[in-house]
Amino acid sequence: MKKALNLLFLVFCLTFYLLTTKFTQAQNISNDNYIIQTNEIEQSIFPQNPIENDSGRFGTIKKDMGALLGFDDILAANFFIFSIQNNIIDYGDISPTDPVVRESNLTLSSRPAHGFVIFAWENHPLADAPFENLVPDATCDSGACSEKNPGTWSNNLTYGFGFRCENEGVLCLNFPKDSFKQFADESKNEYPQAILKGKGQEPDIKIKIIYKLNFSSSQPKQTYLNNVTFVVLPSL
Amino acid sequence: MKKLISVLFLMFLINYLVPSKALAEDISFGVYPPIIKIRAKSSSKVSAAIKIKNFSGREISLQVVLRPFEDAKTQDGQFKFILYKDYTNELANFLSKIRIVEKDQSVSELIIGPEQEKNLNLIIDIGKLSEHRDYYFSAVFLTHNNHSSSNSFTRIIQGVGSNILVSMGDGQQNLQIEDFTVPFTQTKKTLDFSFILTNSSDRFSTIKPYILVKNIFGKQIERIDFSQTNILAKSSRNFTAKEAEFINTKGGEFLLGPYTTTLILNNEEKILTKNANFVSLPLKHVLILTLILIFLIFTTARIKSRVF
Repeated sequence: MKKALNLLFLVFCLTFYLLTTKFTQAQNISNDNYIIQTNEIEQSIFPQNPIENDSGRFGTIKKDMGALLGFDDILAANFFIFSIQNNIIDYGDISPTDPVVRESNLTLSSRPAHGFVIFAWENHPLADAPFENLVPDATCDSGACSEKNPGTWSNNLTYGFGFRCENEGVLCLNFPKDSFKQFADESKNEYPQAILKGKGQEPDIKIKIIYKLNFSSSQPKQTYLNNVTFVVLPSL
Repeated sequence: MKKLISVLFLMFLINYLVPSKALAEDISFGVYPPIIKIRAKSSSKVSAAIKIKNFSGREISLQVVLRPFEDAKTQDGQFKFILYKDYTNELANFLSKIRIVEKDQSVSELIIGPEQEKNLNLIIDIGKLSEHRDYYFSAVFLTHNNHSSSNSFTRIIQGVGSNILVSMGDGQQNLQIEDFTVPFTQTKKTLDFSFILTNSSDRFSTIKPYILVKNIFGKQIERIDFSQTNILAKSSRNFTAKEAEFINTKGGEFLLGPYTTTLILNNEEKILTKNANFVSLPLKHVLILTLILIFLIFTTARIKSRVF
């Protein structure tokens, strides 16, 4: 009888222990496009009505955990595409005080986003290979244009390297007619500048970038080069 | 005839043998998804799919770069990259835990054939968190460009990327509607209004605001929608009629009369509303009304003069 009572007490203790103890367990949340694994002991408390898109294709995002791929109010999973016509801008033979103007065409398909922004910057001003001689970034006719502020550049005695953005709409940011800017200079820790922004889900957008280079007569006759980067990102 | 054939053949040869002035063909590639929003807890491991496709007719070589960003404080949804010199230890530590993986192998460079599509994974190992933090970065795919010329030249490097918003740990959202301004008298063809949404919390907020317009009888006659957008932590966003999509009327042209507008903001945690009233006085309607009034006064005056 005593044995039976002891056994019963043991079973009771074990049951009580099992019912009151929380077990450490990994928690996973996933679908075809994402996985989140946690090793937290606590359980997540999700709201009663989690935000979930209609299709369920792009994931779910809940109060504390989840991942959402793409904008959940744009169901078509089109690519966010960027094309550039020329990947090298050759300035040819340059005569001092005779500006060289070149252009390249950029095309953007931004259907999967509500908007886009294009950032541009140069790795350094045009420079010769040993980096001894530089072509300064243009300061325009007024001497005041920069990577942020545009300026008119029509005087052939104004020297340097600059660019302007052209588009039939009003997408290019702060480029009045015939005005130029400098590219943001990465070597001087200048912030990459947004040169263009627009709404998404439009037909393909075509942008023209015009590069202008003018040498002074004192500029050493060298081959000058630099890299210019254009990055397109969706707006938030 | 023989001469003509010879000239045509010569032209054909010239066209093929002389290098064209255009130095390189188009490079075209794309990424999906454009944005990835992640909410994760302490000690989580996040894996999200990214696809990249080469739309060019030739092989391209891409470099994968992570560029952290922050709100540009311009209230128009713009953001700016954080320069390397401004990286904090926490940010550098967070970035070091991010990998772009192709078939379980971390990649920093990719070679993609013509019309080829690659499936990648973005993996973030979130360590033990001591506090709630948001981090925002772009996963940018940049072209390699080794072209050169005997003349002075600029190499063009092109990049396309996805924005990744990561919110880690627990935290409440705190979104507020500020300055919902609707000019009381509306005389233009389009309804003029603006409002500012401020996110004072430490985590980003996804919103899709809309405005309902009701006439004097309480009947809803317009719904004005805005695209889904994300407001980063500790930032504000200004919205204007330019970004709005008017569902019923063309650009918000209302008949003469008083109206009530209700701005509704339904985010992940709660619903916020704010009201404003306006009177629509379209110039065309005012002009017609004035002409009718003048006609009535004139007619009444004439009738009166005939009677007396």
